[in-house]
Amino acid sequence: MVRFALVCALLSTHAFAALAQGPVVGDVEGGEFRPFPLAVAATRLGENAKDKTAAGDQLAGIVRNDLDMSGAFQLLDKKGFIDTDGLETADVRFDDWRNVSAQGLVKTRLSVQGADLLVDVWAYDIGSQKQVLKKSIKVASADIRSAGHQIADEVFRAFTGEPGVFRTKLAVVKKVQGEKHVFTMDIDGEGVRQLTKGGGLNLLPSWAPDGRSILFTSYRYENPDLFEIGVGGGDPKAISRRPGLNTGGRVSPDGGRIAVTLSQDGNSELYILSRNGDVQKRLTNQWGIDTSPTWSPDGSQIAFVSSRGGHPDLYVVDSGGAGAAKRLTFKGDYNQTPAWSPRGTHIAFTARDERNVFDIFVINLKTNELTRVTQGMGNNEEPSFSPNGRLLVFTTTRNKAKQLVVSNLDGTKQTVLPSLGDHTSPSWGPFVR
Amino acid sequence: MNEPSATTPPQSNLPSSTTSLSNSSSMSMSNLSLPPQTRTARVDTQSRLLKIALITSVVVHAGLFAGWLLFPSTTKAAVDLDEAVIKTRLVKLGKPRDEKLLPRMPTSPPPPAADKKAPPVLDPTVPQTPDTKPTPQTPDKPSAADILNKFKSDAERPKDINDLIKDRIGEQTDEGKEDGDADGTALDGEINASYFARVTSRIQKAMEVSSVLSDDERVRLKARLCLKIDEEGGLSDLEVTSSGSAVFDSDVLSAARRASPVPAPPPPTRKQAGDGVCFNFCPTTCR
Repeated sequence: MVRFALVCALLSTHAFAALAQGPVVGDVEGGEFRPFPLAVAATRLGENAKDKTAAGDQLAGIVRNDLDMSGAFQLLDKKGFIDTDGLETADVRFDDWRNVSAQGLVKTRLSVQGADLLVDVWAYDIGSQKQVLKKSIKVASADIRSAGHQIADEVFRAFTGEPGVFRTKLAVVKKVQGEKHVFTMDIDGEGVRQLTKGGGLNLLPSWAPDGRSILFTSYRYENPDLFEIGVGGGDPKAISRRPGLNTGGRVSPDGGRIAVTLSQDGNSELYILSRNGDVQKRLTNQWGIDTSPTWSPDGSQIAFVSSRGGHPDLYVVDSGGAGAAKRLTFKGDYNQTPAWSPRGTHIAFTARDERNVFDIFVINLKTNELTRVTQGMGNNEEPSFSPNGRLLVFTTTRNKAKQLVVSNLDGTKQTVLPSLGDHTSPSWGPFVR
Repeated sequence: MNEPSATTPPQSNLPSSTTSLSNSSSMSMSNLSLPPQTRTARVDTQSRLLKIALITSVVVHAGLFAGWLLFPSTTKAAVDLDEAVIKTRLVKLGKPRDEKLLPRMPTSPPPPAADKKAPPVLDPTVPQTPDTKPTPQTPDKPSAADILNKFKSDAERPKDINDLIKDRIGEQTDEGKEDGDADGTALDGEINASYFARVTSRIQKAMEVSSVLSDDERVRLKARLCLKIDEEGGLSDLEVTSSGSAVFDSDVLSAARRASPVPAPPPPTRKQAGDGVCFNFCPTTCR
């Protein structure tokens, strides 16, 4: 009998192995990339937080909006949820969530802890029925937005393995009472704060890599000069006040240098300055206009705009000045405002097409393949990459006023931010440290 | 020579088409007891009958063979291999876009313009008779053998002749090497490859990859899905060898479920499909 059972076991194992080792008859490669169907359940309220319904709704709303904006998730309509199960793995009814086509699940609970709020979050992979995240976050009672963004970051990381950008900030120029000033805001368009005061025209903000200061160009002394201001506000510090242009300043990824456009010699050329503003190197010396520098993530190269070929195109030059600049774009006749992806693989830029409309394009630096991000939606300009390289922010006139748009790289998910007014020159800040 | 037995039954002189060969020896034995003239006549009659039987048999067999050659089989193949996997139509190629222009996103073509011709006005005085449909004429279809026989040798036949025959008359050829497998034909390998290519294409169309995969995972991940395909194309015993990403593994299983049922396997492929086959899945390329 034992022998019989052993033979049966061996045979079944062999059959199992035979199936698992069956001949491979085809390769299924690629496929339509689609957002990951995610269910974000309503926030549960702890015993001592029964009066925090509004805060709970706000929290869940921020998490849903952030994850939806990322383009990586398809947020399922909560109206279809049967959300009566528990929070821990043993208490979750995975079949209920599978029935609404969810592949991921997020649950949160809000409690009060003294003067603070405690938010617990759980996330599950429905297919494998495994918990992928369990965390508690404490925030000040008035700071529920911060908790929502932090939870969105944690959930994003749990499902993608990459850091989220929902706690990062944007810097942008807005018109205020006839003047233009630099503002900062959350990436969902909320929390708008004016940074610069006075000076009339304040333009072209760009974040330092440490996130503590912002470079910008100001006409406060009736000349376009380069300044630096702390994110907490205060008086700006002059970096370069040379005759002519001192525009488009960008701090290098290591924080030690600044690439800028100067015209002190009579023509717009690219220079490398120290953080104090001393000229270290002149990078270009051509008859055309050279401007709008952007650093590669390793700081070894700079992409910029030059009209040396007869019309504005993108070029790349060694940041140490070695060798000649190499032309990057060969299509279109008006390419400008380049932004180098933190991943190093792509450069986004603005281009004017044959219909005289400005749109956002992305060039793959490995294949030179050009991808169009926007089309038929007004003028779209001045892209800036998120610090994880997955998203872009740029300006758009699709709704008449110049608004901000957050988009994924292929343009399939675009979210117009609710911030009011005319916006220009957005700059996406670094990861929160 | 043995003497005939007293119990030997009397022999009938009437010709019988059912004369059995097994009786021939007993008959020839019984002939020996008859007078020589009668015996000769009987032998002649028996020879004539034998000849008639042989001729009749040959004619009947020849007729059956001719009928098999001339009239096509009425049984329908389990799998309609003529069914197009992708329906296409020829459209006029537009003017190519200038290479120096920036790329544009594809947009849907406008719907075709409605026919603006006015409908014909019917004269009420003329009685309207319903149009009579012409009876469809079905021309005689050639057989596979007829088509193959038009080529004097194998070397003259186009390489895709079997596909052409299947395409035109829906008939499989039995062409094969003389020393080939008695249970198979030269087409089996092609039929298997063609079938699994169709199944792969079906699953490919249903494949959706979650956007949450990182760039590294999109290049690196590879899963293997093994399954069984029954005679109706239903999938069972799905088993994934994990890629390392639960999300991608889930995408693989979902694709297989969406693709089911796949095209039913043709007879030569049913055993292999039923025993189990595997597919590699990769978010970008499997190479």
